[in-house]
Amino acid sequence: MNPKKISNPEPMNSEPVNAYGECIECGQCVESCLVLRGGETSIVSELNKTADTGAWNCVNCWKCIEVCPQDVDIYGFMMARRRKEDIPSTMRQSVKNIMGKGCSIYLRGINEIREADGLSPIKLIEKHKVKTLLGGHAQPEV
Amino acid sequence: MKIAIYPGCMVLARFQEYELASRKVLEQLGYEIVELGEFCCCGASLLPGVTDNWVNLTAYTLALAEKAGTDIVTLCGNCTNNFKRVNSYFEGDHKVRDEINSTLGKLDLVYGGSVKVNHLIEVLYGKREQVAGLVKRKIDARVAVSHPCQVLRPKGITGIEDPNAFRRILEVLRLDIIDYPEEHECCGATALLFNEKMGIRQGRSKLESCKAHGANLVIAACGNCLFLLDRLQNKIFKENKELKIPVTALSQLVAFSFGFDDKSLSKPFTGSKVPRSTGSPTGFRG
Repeated sequence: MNPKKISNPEPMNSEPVNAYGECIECGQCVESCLVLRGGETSIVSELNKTADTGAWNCVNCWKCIEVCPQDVDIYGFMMARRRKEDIPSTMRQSVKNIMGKGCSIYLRGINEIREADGLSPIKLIEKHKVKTLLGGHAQPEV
Repeated sequence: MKIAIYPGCMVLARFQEYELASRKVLEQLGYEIVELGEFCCCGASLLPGVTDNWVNLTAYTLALAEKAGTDIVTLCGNCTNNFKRVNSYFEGDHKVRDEINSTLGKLDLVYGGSVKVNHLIEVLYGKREQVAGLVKRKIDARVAVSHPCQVLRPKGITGIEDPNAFRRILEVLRLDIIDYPEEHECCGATALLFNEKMGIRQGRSKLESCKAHGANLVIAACGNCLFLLDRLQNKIFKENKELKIPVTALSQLVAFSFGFDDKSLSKPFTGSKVPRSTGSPTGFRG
């Protein structure tokens, strides 16, 4: 099952997505984008209609948002696009870990390490709570 | 003053020394460290592309903190941004607020939006004078700063006015700070998730520039930056091991400046092959 299917049918993130209406195509976001400079497409390519994929190719540096003179909701635009695309395979393990254990990195023996370092033990959130918080399926096959 | 440390998944799993040093530094500054009892991901790896319900994970930790009567200090950029974004939904009359509380209610929790979340940089920046008064030794190093993007941007979410807040803290430690053109560029750690080569290339470019501009130590303040810039250095400089440069976390450096010598604080540079028991967290003469 694609983990996307755990989504609430009523999207909770109601930020306005009005990117095209506000964009004046000044290109400052293009110049600021590290991912584009690295030779990949990015959300900025989608915004500028030079590519139709790239919503997941983002380093979250948010330079594009900072340089935009029109306050285009690039974050909202990116998230709206991501809802329509599959999750990259490289991200699936961390998604699976969160859904199963409430933590994106598998923590075998973490409390032994913490104790050795003088830190108090950590208790991970219980699986049934993750299931409740994510609205249903706690550990889909990804 | 009470404060809970939220390490985030990456620091929790891989950078215990960063968490421990942060704890010691905050205690020195007079904070009482509160445990939240349970750890839950901030939701950064989910976001709406996976599920819109990621906000409930973020709010769960905020609700635990509110119940414990404490604010939160974060150690990662991603977590900081997520917590602040979800807190912004609790300002005004955002409909997400009710939806989140409807879900939290199933676990007998409620969140009212009162928990202040600040990254360690913001906490130390706000207490620069006190930090300066606690410095017991000057560190003999030429340092480069790697600013965590998501602590600073976008300003509408982070609320940080001074983009050089991180640098200002190091200045009160009387460090020799170098300038380099990529100081405010992303390190590339998040690129590892969709294009590993790009992430490695960006990390390399940043570290090479630090070194070329005279640094012999790089300071980071985010688990993801530390993962790429420190832990992956063997991969970054696979064929040029002589280019390696030590990288350490902000609180480890501050703790060392405050006079702590605890060997558990000195576990940086896995990539640089400096054993954790060597004493100095920086590898440099105090």
